[in-house]
Parts: sequence; structure tokens; C-alpha cells
Amino acid sequence: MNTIDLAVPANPDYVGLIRSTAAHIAAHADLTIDAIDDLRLAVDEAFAVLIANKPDGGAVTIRFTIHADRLAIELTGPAGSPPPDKSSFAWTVLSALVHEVSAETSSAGLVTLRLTAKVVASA
Amino acid sequence: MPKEDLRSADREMFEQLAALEAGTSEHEKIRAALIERHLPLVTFMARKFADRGEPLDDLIQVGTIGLIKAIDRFEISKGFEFSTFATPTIVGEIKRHFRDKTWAVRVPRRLQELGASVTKATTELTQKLDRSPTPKEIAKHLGITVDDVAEALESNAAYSTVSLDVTSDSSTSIGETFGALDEALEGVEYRESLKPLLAQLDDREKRILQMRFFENLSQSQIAIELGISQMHVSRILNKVLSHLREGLVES
Repeated sequence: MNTIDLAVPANPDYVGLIRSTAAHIAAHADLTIDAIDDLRLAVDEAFAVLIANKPDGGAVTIRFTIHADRLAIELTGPAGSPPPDKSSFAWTVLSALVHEVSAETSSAGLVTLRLTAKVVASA
Repeated sequence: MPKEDLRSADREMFEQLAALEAGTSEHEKIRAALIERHLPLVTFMARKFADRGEPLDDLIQVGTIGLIKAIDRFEISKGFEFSTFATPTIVGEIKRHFRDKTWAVRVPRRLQELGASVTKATTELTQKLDRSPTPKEIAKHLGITVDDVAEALESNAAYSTVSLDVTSDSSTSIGETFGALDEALEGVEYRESLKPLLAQLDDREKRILQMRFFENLSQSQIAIELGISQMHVSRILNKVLSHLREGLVES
């Protein structure tokens, strides 16, 4: 199990960086091309959700955990980002792009989105 | 003017043009008039290639070069309609523009070739395995490293290497696609603010959005269904989602 941590300013300029990082890690985690491309879109969407109300400064931290059978990505938004609305279009999109998506708000009020992409056993 | 009259006017002008010596002012005048008459055809064709990362004006400009070439080459004695004759030349110039500009200028040759071979291997392996391949499988197939594959995927995704395998035409009618998508969005919040944004999408974009998010088809399955590459599906989804996201933020 390997972990990669990344922290970027809560600013749309950095979405490309985390998207590329996610894709690169996913390529090494043995995800399929379809799953990698879906993950790219999911990371974009999740990042947009977390910085949606443009909180003043702050950072988004991203933790990638590579398991044998899945890649887990946890994105934690800056203070002040709202918990995601599960009836939103963004949530519909996220749910379709990864195997599992969940959200959690810490006692400190920080929102974490958890995306899980499963590795499809290759022959 | 009725279509028939337009055609006979065309014929007449081409006959005059053929009778005149190239370079004379009379010849130039008729040639210029022919160009102007057929500019709407260029605009029409250029629009089909809009939304692929190149400004429409540029596409009209290169398409006009194609039109001029077609006018100069057209032989009325062959019996073709001019528009039939000119269309492939106009489209050819527009496609050449994409090939020359969007590829060659921005991506180093090594990456272009790597990207192309990874795309080709992805298609081949998808057919062979009946599912999307992993980078490891692609690397093995091509005799390169997983890092090479990752790099190729990155450059494929990052650069606007617009695929020209299809134009924005679609056999599904707008009403049909939109109705189904609208139904699928039942229960999604902001449905009302999404509607005008969805209306701005072309038929194929709507169809892909629906297939991926409401019919749960994979990108590869959509690619096969629509006869385009998986990478192209990926780009369209990326574009559509950004469009919707930005639109929702603004509203």
C-alpha cells in the first residue's frame, strides 16, 4: 500500500496539476484506460465542488492511496467549503465516474470527498 | 433565386471564366464573384468543425482557400455541380489546418508518435480483451514502459488533438435526445438552471452525456457505439462537464 500526499491552493488554476497527478498514479495503479479517464473527470468535479463557494484562500489536500485492488482518493477542502449536495448534478456525475463516492465533514468543519476506483482484475 | 437558377447562373459564370484568359481583369472579376457567391458553403462547412479548439474565423479562412482552389480547378465539361465538386476540397483544407496546426506546432514529434501508437493499441486491445486495457497491458503490447504510456496519455489529453473522424452531425433528432436527457435529470437539483446549458450542447454531446451518466455505459462502449475513438469521447465529456460546471457557477 502506497500513499501520496499533495496540497494545492484552493484555486482552479491547480486543477490541472491534480488531474495529471491522479492520471499518472492511476496508470501505475493498474486502472484501465476508461477508469483513468473517468478519474480525471471525477477529480476535476470533486475539486470544483470543494472550492465552489470560493473560500478565502486555503488549500485542498489530496491523499492517494494505492491498494492492490483499488485506488482511493481523498480530497479535503479548505475551511468553509460546504458539504456536497447529494441531489446535485455534480454528485450524479461523481457517482457515475467512480465505483464509490462518499463525503464526510470533520469536527473542525472540513469536508472530505472520498473517491474509490477499483482495479479490474486483468487476465 | 430558386436553386435551379442559381445553378444555371453558376454554369454561366464558369463558362465565362473558362473563355477568359487567367489574370485579365475580367477573369478576376468573375472569379471574385464566384468566390463571394459560395462563401456561405464555406461557412457552413467550417461550422461543422467549430468547437474543436480553433476559432471559426480561422476555419472560414482556410476553407476559403479550399473554395478558391476548387474554383480554379473546376471543369464544367465534367458535368458536376460545383458545390459537389468544391465540398471535399473545402473540407480537405480545413482538415489540413487541424493536422498542421493543432498537432505539429504544439506537440513534440516523439510524443505525437507515442500518443498515436498508444491510441491505436488502446483500440486494438479493447477489441481483443472486450474491455478497456490497462496501461501495463498497453506497455507490454508496444514494448514500452508504463511511464511512457502515462506520458502519452497525458499529452493526448492535454493537447487539442481534435479527432476529425466525425462531424457534429447526428442521426438522432434534438427533441429526441433532449427529451430523454431531461427525463434522466428528474430529481437532480438545479435541473432548471441546467436546462439552458444543456440546450447549448450539440446532439452528440447530449447523447454522450446521457450514455455515460444515465445509461452507465463506459467510455469505450460509447466510442464503439458512436464509431469514434475512446479518447474523443473522453475529450467531449471533459468539455461538456466543464461547460456545465462553469455555467452553473455563473447562474
